[in-house]
Amino acid sequence: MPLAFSNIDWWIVGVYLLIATVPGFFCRKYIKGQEDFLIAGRSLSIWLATATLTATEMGLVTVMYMAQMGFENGLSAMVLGVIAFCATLFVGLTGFMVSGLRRSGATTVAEYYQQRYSPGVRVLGGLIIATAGILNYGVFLKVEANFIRIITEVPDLNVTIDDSGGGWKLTLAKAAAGPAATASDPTSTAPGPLPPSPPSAAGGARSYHLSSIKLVMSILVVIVLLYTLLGGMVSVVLTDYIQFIVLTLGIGLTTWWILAREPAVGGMEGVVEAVRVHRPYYGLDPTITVGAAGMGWLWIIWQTMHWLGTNTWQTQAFRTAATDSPRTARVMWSLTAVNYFGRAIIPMLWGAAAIAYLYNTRSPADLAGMDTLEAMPRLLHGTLPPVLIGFMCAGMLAALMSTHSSYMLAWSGVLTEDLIAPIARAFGLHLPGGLRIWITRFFILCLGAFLIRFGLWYEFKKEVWGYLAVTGTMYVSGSTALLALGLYWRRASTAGAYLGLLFGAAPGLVYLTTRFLVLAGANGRLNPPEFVRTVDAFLTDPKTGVMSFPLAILGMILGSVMFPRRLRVPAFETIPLTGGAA
Amino acid sequence: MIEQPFDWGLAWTYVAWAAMIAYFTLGLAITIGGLFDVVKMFRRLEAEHRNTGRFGDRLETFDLPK
Repeated sequence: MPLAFSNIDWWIVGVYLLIATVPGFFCRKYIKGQEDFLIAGRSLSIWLATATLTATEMGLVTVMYMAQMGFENGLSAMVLGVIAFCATLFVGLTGFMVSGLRRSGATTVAEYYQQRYSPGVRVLGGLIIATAGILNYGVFLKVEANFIRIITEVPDLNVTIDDSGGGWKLTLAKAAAGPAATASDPTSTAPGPLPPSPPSAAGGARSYHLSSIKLVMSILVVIVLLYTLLGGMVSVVLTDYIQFIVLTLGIGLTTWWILAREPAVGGMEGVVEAVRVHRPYYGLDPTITVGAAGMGWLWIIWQTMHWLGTNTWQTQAFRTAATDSPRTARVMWSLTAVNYFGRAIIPMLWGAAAIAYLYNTRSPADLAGMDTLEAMPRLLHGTLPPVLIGFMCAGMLAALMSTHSSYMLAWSGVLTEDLIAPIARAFGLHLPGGLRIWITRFFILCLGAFLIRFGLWYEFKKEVWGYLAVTGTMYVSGSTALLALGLYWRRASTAGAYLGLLFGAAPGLVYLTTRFLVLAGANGRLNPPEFVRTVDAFLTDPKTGVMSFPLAILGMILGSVMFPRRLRVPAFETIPLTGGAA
Repeated sequence: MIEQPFDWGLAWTYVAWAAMIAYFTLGLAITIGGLFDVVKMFRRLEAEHRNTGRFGDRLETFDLPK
């Protein structure tokens, strides 16, 4: 029997929102320049840097898609956590790319492109980074809204405005189930608010249907927008730290409670047994695929490449740039390896526990049409008691807010620093620091509006992680090739950089374009040719990902060989005749 | 059901416990260490704020002598 989200749980969430966000509003006085706004004046020490990186990368959307992977693929999905741990530990111990990036003093990845290659590469790189990043970010709210809707069961409202008596009268009432439920479902393609009913003959009363979940999500985004706009990275870091504590506490208590549920889940043994029965073979062995289910070698290779280069993802590169030294950057990445391990494994365990819980408590007919993204929220909704569900929800909201604040800051920073400022410079305009902060704030506002208005449109091909990883790979493949070869290969040239960026982004662009055309065809808006459908069917997530990285490196090498870099090595060594110091 | 040569179930059980223990231990360390770092960061920012100030703050130093 599902347990209701009680008043005390709402109080816990409310108090948490106050504690976690109010301090962020008082950081504005420390913002004097773009470096303070974007990277907190490079003042982060090891523990704080690790806390903020973990809080950013452990979003509610992360918990959702990791749990979805655990539910669909069983425990074999945990191989992602092992890959993430090994790749990130390698980065931390060797300083692969992160030491060089921090030493370069660049704030954004594209700024490094300009230092090493040319201003043109920075603009093209910035464009790809911003496009891939914003496409990736655009779906977060939709996934998160699903979670909050299931956990809280917040009812929709009917708003009646009556102006018949000369004055205004506003009435709020819970909407009836049925059409309202469809409208409140953020995954529904139906429009959110219903059109207002016509005024009755007796007076000017109008009724509106208000989707509460969309309202709640919009309010959360506005709160995040406000403190990010005011205090930039200083606010983000401070709130991330508070959010990290709440998030860790919420996750810890929830994991303990879920595993202790007898007989619905039955501890680790119960989870393993449920996976063995309901996800035969591919649920335990990550090298096996059965049809579209399971992980497989292609996927493992793609993820290994992805996680080696994921430190170039701008939200993570900002943390590398914000550390107080290259050594701190390396230690931060070594510690983050442990966090990435838990970040993947724990939600996947929840997803696998949902297999045990749902198959033990529901009929197969109930589960047949269920969206796999909803499995984990249904497990939590069905098992967590009052107060604990409040703490867990506060923890998940912490995860949501810390991710949104950092993503807004990262992508708006890229748009300002890597697109607007270099283009303005090309026209002879130098944008002062104060103006650049305001431009960044303007883009933060635009991103917030984009997220609320358009963030609910995308239909997923399979798993959310597939979409996120493909859009991420569009960017990470090129940035890894440019950064790694730029740092460790003297002959990497500007022409190579252009080709590397374009080749790396190409498979992802084809994937998204064919997906869009096929979806438009399914909705009757377009009639795409047959070859588009063939390409769409061929380009699975792992194939797209696995092609991107070698293509980016190939482009980089081809371009650098065909149009070599002019190395500034003098033909004859010159000896200063004056004999003084050079 | 065909017996698998490697006991993946046991392996994932160990991996899950290792991840939980490592994550929550580090979480505790970060919570404690992060508090000192927050204080350090704000001391540094406060010192810079006092030294440089905002444009409006600098104007106040040009007060007329009484």
